[in-house]
Amino acid sequence: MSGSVLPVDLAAVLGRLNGDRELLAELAVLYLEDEPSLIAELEAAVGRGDAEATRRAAHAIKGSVANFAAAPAQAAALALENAGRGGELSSAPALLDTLRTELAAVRQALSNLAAGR
Amino acid sequence: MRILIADDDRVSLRVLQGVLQDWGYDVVAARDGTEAWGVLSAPDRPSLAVLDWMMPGMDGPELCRRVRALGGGSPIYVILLTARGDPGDIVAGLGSGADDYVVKPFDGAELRARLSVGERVLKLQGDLADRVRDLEEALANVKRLQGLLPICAYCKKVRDDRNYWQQVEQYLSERLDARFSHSVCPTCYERHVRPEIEKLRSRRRAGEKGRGA
Repeated sequence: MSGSVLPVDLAAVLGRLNGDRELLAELAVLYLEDEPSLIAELEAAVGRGDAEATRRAAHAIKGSVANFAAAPAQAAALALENAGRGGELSSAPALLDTLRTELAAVRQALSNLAAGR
Repeated sequence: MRILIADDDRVSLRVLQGVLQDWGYDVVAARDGTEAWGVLSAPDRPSLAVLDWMMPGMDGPELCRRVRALGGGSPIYVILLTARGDPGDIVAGLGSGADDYVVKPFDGAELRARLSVGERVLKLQGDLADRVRDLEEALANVKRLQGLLPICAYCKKVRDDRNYWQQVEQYLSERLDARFSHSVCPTCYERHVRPEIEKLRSRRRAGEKGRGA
């Protein structure tokens, strides 16, 4: 393995889905539909400095991307979840930027899947 | 077997539904805790449930508490899905009335194994409930032979609860899984049967003499 981690580990996901590619494409569509509202909720929580809402919203994103074995995005969401849990949001805007970058990579990978449906 | 799944994340819910359907489960999917409670509080609720821990409105542990507080009803086995691995959370989850938990994102083989544990527990519970019912029925039958039984001092008939006098063997065979066959004990044979036979014999002898004369 090289040092770079893939945004989504499709082999692992397919393994979990008993090799069901149809289902994987359907999941990609669902995710792409729901992601904007998930990220909007997180941005709003960080914007108003609401630690508990930040924790919840980051947790929700982490749970959703985890379905695609998206390790980098999961780690970025976990960092925000932990910041929210600790009630310390000074680092949140920077963590949010990192998460946005990782989510863009996930979106890219899933868009191809959804299009190939 | 019917199974309820609840998760507010559409992707996670669909993953769970797809995998469980592949394993042959009849899946009822709920989009949040409130919807899940609607299914869990219905009389024909499924006996297996996989509930996400964190849901807006009513979360997994709250659903567990409500299900257990409901009491009675059909047995139900609940697995909580948690993204966290903190032992404190696990204790809280099991304390709320969950039977087991699985960490998200779940490993298919592990979830399947835990579900089969659930099915085994449900079967044991069902078998036990059947056994208790059988024993209660048996006990009810035994009770029918308790209490004061009036018996005639002369003919030995007994009076039943509808005030009818019955032969003791009829009374008992209606209330027991036993039947009577008639026979004669040695004492009664000597006292009743032998004299009758002797009487018959002497009558026959007297008849032969009469014809011979």
